[in-house]
Formats: sequence, C-alpha cells, structure tokens
Amino acid sequence: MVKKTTPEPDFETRMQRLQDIVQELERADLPLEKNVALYKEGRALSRACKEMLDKARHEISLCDEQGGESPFVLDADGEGPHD
Amino acid sequence: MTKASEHILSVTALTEAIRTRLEASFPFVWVRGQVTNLAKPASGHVYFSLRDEECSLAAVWFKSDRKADQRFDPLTGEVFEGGPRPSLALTLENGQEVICAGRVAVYGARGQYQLIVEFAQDAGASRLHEEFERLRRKLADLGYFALERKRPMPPQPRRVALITSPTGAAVHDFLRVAQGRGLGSRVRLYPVPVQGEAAPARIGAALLRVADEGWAQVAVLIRGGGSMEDLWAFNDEAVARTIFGMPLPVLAGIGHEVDFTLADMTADLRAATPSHAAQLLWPDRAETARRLRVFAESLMRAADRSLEIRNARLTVLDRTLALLSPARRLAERQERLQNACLLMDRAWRDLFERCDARLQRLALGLAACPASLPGRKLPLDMLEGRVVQAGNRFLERSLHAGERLRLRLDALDPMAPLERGYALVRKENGAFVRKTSQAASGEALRLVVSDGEIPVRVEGETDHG
Repeated sequence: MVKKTTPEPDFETRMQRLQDIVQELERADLPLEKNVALYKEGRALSRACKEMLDKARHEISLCDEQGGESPFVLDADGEGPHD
Repeated sequence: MTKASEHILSVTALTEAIRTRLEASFPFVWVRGQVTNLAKPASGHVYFSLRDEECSLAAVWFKSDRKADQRFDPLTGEVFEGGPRPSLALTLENGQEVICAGRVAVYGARGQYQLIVEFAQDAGASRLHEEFERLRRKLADLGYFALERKRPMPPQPRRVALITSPTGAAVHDFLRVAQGRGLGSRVRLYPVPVQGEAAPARIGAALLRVADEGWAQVAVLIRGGGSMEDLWAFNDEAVARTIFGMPLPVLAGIGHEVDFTLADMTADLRAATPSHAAQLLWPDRAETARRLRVFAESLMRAADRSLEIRNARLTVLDRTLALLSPARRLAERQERLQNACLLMDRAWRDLFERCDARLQRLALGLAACPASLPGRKLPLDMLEGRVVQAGNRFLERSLHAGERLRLRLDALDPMAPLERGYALVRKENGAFVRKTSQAASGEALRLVVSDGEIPVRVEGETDHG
C-alpha cells in the first residue's frame, strides 16, 4: 500500500524556502510590501518547521507473517526488548 | 687419511645436527590436523598429537606460550563479540580438527621432534573463512560490490523497512539512536531470525516482501555483533543475490566495525553497526534544530536590517524635504530681502551723512570767505604782472634766438660767395664741374654768377693741374 503523499510541503522544502527568503530579504532593493510579505512567510515557515521538529516521533510497527501490522513499542524503561 | 671413528657421531651430536637442520628449515609453520592423545597435566601445558590419515605429529602447547583468553581470532582478525574468549587450550578435545601455528623442535631426551604450538584455532572457523573468501571473490566477479551501482540513500526517508530480529540488541540500538534523529518516520519492522539455519531464507523472503510492497523508501538490514559463524546468514549467497536485485536502496549494518559480511558489501550503503545505520539514515534532530535556529535568526536580522536601511533613507529624505520646503524658501528669501533693506537703509544714510558733512564743510568755508577776499586782491594783481612779464621775456628770448638762427643759415647759403665774385660751373645736365677731367674740349658749360648764368664753351685741351 502506497501512502498518498500529503500536499503539505515537507520539512526540507520548507527549510529551503526559508533559506531562499533570507537571501531575498538581504537584498536591499526589495519593495517594502514584498519585504513584509516575505518576512511573514519566513516566520510562518520557521514556526512550522519548529513544530515539525518538536512533534517528530518515529512510528514503529511490527509486520507479521500474515501481512498484518501492529504497533511495536519499546519497554517501559525505554529499552528495547532483549534476547 | 681419516679414521672411520672420526665419522662416528655421538647421539647428542647427531641430535644437535638434526635440531639445527630441522629448526632452521621450519622456523614457523601452520599445520592442520585432528587432535589425539590429548593430555592436560597439572603443569598447565597441553600435550597432544595432530594426525591425519597417514601421519601423526607430537605437539605441545606450553602454558607460557598462550594467553589465558583470546580477544580476537588469530586467523581472521575478528574481534570477539562479548569480550575475550577462553583459550582453545581449555576446550581442546580429542577428535577436534584444529589449525596450529608454531615451530618444529627436537626433543633430544626422547629423540623426538615435535611441534611447539604458539597458537591454535578450531579449523571450523577457518573453513568459514575460506568459504567467505570464495564467495567474496565470486560475487565481486559478478559485480555485486561495484561502487558505480551503489544508490544514494533518500534524504530524510519517511518510510523505512527494518529487517532484523525484534528481540535483539540491534533493533534496540537502532531505535534508540533513531529517536533523536529524523523528522518522524514510519518504520515497519519485518521480524526475521538473524542466525541459524532458517535465517538466510527468512531474511531473503523479508527483503522480497519489502520489494513487493513498494511502500518503503529504503530497506535496512541490521544485526548485532557476533562471531563469524553467528553472522553467517549474512554471508549467504542467496541473501546477497536478493540484496543485489532489490529495487530500492538497501542499508546494511551487520555486526561491529570489524565485521564485513557479503550482505554489507552488496548493500548500497554499509553501516558499521546498527546504531550507525540510524545515524546514516536520518540527520540529527538537534543539528536540524540548530540549522533552523540559524535560519530564523538570519530571517530576523535580514528583516531588521532591511527596515533599518529604509529608516535611514527615510530620515535623509525627510531632512532633504524640510530643506526644500516652500516655507523654508520663503523664509530664506524674506531674510535676504531684510538684509537688502538693511543694506539699502545704511547706504542711504551713509550717502546722506556724507553729503551733509560736505555741505557743512562748504558752508563753513563759505562763511570764512568774505573776510579773506580783500586780502587776496593784491597778490592776484602781482601775479598778473609777473605772468605778463614772464610772457614778454619769453617772446624776447624767442626773437633773439630766431635772429641768430637766420644769420647762421645765411652763412651757409652757397649763393652768398657769388656776391663776392665767385662763380659755379655747371654742365648742360646741371651737374657741377669740380675737376678738369669733367670738362671735355668743345663742351658747352654754364657759369653761375650772382645774378644769373653765362653760357660758355671749352676751348683747347684742359690743363690738368
């Protein structure tokens, strides 16, 4: 099953856009309106990226022989199961 | 002549000769054989024989020549997982096939030669090593390890297929490291045994399942450290072939740093350990956060700077505008007008004052005048008399001078001597005759006298005086 990719841009695309915005803002000849718009966009991107980082958790599932899938959790002490 | 007795060697001499030859010829040898007659006396030395189908070789493994335990495989260089292992000397058994390394020595007391073992190794491990080498060469020839077919890992993979034992240290290490990395990915764990007879087939099947599902961006094959035998499933030719045929990139982290399996070498990327695999797969989240912070700060700085630049420009323009405003210009002109008025006032006043002063001076002069006028009449008359006198004297002097000049002029008149009887002789052409040679015989001349001219003709020859 292929998971459909969300229309939301991914983290790296956002980071790249943020970098581009910074570079564009560093140009002095930008109209003020554009400048403000870029800054707002940059702030939003920065916040979104931070949120993505804060929320980033891997989702781990165990695939059984029959093709089923169940959540795979580490032990309570944070340690993985050992032999 | 030498006596026969000189050729007879003592037992010791012969033994020494044999020792010299033998020990020089076999300073260090590797011997493979089966252990028999094993004896482990209290001394700690180990005595045994190595034998094959036809021969037997006495061997001794002195206590001093071996370490109590072994940290690595002397044949493969494999560092033992889980710490050093007890020396083989302790576990040696009759019938065990071993490879021994050491030197051949002669034990004179018994007239025996024997192998002084320096280290021994179970031959089974060595067989694995040989098999590994054979497969490695074969797969290398097939191009399994070719660098040009290695695919790059997807950056920040969000869908990861993890193939390993769900109960090993490997999965734990991998997930523990993964926690601090990436941006939250989905990891599907495909449980497989990672050692034992069933392992290669199960690993191969899991890989094929991942390939069939087409869900994952990358397949990760990991296993914790172990002996070569433990890791053998990952040296399986079929497993390597499956990895080679995978339609998606494969990351393998089998065993430890020193362990190289065929699966590692066939995979697109080899991680030294399962933890390292997680590091290779995802960037450190703290590092990503730091990068983000740098960008956010740059954004603020760029925006601030841009505003500052605008603000500075605005200030300049504002000042310029103030300088150029009509009110300002009006004030400026008013000031100029005022200055001009002041100047004009002052000039007027000055002129007036100057005129006034002059007038006053004249008035004063005028006032002084009537008193001095009668006094001035006499000198004026005197002056007039002097002027007339001077004029007369000048005229007189001029007349005298004129007369003197006329007299001098008269004295120079060429006609004056004619009055006294002199005459001038001229030719017809008017030229005066000064020398006799100038007048030819019969030539007409004129004599100029005081009151006119007398025509004459030359007679006879001229007399040259």
